[in-house]
Amino acid sequence: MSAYQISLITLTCISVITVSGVFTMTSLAGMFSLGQAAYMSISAYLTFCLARYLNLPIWLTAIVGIVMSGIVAFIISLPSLRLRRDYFALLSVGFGGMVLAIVILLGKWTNAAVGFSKIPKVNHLVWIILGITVLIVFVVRNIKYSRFGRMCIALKTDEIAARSFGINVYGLKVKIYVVASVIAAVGGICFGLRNRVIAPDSFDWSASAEMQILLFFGGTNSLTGSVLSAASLKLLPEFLKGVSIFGMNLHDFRTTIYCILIILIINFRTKGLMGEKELSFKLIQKLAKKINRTVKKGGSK
Amino acid sequence: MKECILRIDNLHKNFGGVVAVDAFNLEVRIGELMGIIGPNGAGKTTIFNLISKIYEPDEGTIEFDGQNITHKSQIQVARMGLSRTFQNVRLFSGLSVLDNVKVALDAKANYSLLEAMFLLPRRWKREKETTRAAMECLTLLNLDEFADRQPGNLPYGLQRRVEIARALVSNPKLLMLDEPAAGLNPEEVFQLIDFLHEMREKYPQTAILIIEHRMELVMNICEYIYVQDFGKTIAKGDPTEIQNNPAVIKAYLGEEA
Amino acid sequence: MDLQLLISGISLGAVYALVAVGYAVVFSVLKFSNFAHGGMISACAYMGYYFQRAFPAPPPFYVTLLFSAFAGVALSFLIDTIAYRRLRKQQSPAIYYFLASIAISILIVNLLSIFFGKNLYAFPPIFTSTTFYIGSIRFSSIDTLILFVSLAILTFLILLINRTRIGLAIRSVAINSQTSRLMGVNPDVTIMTVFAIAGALAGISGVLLAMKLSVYPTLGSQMMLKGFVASVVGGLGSLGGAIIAAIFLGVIEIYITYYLGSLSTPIVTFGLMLIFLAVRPVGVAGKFAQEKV
Repeated sequence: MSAYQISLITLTCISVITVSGVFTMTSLAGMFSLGQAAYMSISAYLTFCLARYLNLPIWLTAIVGIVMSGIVAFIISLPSLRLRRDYFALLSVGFGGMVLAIVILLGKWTNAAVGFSKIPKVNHLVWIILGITVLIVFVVRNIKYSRFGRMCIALKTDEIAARSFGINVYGLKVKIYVVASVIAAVGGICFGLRNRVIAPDSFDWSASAEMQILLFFGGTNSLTGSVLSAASLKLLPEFLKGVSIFGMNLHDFRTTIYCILIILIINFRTKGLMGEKELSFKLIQKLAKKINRTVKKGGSK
Repeated sequence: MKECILRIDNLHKNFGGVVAVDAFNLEVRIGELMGIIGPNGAGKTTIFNLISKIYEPDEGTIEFDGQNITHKSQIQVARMGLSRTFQNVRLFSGLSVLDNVKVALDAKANYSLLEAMFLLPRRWKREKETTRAAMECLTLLNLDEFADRQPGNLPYGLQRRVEIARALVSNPKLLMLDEPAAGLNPEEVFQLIDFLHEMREKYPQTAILIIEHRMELVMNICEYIYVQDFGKTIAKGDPTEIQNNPAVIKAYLGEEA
Repeated sequence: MDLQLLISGISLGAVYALVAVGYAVVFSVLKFSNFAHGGMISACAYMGYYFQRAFPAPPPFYVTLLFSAFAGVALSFLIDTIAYRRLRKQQSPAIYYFLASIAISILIVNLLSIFFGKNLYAFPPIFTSTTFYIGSIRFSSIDTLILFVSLAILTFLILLINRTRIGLAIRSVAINSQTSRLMGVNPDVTIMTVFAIAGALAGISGVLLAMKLSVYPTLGSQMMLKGFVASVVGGLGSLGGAIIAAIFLGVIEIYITYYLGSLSTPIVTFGLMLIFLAVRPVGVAGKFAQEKV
């Protein structure tokens, strides 16, 4: 594989990892957060700074980083998940701002806004990241098709009805929030390993918003849809790099394109591209049968 | 005499200055089918919301299955075996009919999030049990053919039955039905009556408490009836007694007759 | 020294109050957090800046302010048409409004940085001297001007909401949109008014912020959180509460910045918000945000 292909694959994978994390939180449990990128930054900075300054192996510090993100998520979720959903979203923006401010305050170690670039090179990175991506998507899929997935959708649609079946709404939300944040943390470490530099800019609230946009583009509750849109929309700008209109490079407009796409989607195809359907062999078979039938009908006429 | 499953003593609830429930007493025994009737605004749904702990009562005690539940949470009470439906169907729209029924068992199915994430053996075992129990319940109530459908695509009468199945699947000690006939056309109401009779045969241990203002339904199936008006119990007795009670006729039947 | 900080803080808080009210007024009627407000502030700051520079002799300050306010209203209507109107018709869930408003906000910031770069533009000075003295105390001319303009506008708004028919309509829709529709309040007119108010406030606060901090793409979105915090802490829907909370926030921020450095402000802001919401999660919701079982 050429370096360029590898960079595209890893870029896609990281996008899929982070969007899967947001999927568990937003699509399943209906929690809308704009602070997930902050968990990426917590784990990434912890992992790489500890590895650098304490001379520890990277896999060990990665575990520390991920566990710490989980702990922070747990502490933050306790008060904030008791609130109305919009306050929760608002708090998540404040939380993201706070984390990045701390990163800059600790500039002595994190190199502040310039970015921390003393990240070790890892061999076979593309395979590692691919493996992690598959594992994460597998795990998220399993959550969706378990009692937790069902209870999440129940509490997302109707909290009072959910409670009337003995579902501990608050406890479940906390659990799911921690899982989603841990997934974001994994994504953050992969991001650092790929780019070899991490700066506060890459983890601000618009990064979190981008995850939400990719998620909703795929469908309101479709893991396959969200994974596909996370991969394809992330790759789209790469193909726009050479294209220019009126002397402006279209690649610069990637965020603009995302925003326009999502506004169109929620206005005209309200449930996202895939809605609540999953892409499965059954669905493909059904589609194939349908096509077959129509072709036959056409033939018999 | 059968054992008492629900005992309510001197229940009061005010909203602002409005008395919604005033000195309400009630006893339900195992397997009994009891109805609460009364015109709109008589405080019937409030009684349900008080029993299922969505509201806190101002005064009075509620005893369920031998325990005082007056200060327990909605979740605790639900897990003790108190199940209910809602006035407007509240099925979970993102889940299929089968999943809607399964979700009622999910809070008690004990496998952990980690086991779910990595598909460990206990997850398979419990999922199988849940699916079997849910399918059994749907089959018993003749709803199995709709298992894979989205509830939003079903006719309203069927949605009601699915909701009742969902409340029944956990074998509750007490099932509370909040106006099960609301929004149904006359034919659907007859179907519902048959459905409820059938349900009683198949779940004989479950006590049922129904709120309703459709007379034909209540008179047809209930063994004992409470009549509420403006928060107060104005009469109680079996269907024939109620039909001949002058206070009831004046307060309620009189308007319809 | 301290008095000067105080005035600077109050003046900053007054601008936050403009942002907070612009946000709260939309929230009270439409029940969603209008993230696009931040983007509108940035866009208006740029429009004000270029308007000011478009003439050989800069126009008087109030003309720029008026222009920017009208530009804000136009922009607000445009955003409503593009992003929200169809959602209202489809009665989409709140999360869609959220997403739409965030997308609009990012879109504006992104377009601004593509076309104008990420550089800071200094707003042309309005005063010949940046400070003036009363007795022996030194005042910043810009801060004082901002303070008076904001207070004037806030007073005007409070009168508008509390004393006029359209204000009554807004308040009634805020409390219960269905009932007020039955009482003959036209929801479309009310919503248009609300967006007009929000737009005008975005325009004015954009120019004021630009004078204080100079013009750059993320100017507005940075202010957004402060506006949010103020309106939440002050009690959503209560204008007076939001204004007081905003001024309080501005003063705190100036003092923290002075003694601890500007980097600590996000930490303190979040801490305050978390503590406040943890202590009074229901209380802050005010009268408007009650949900029915």
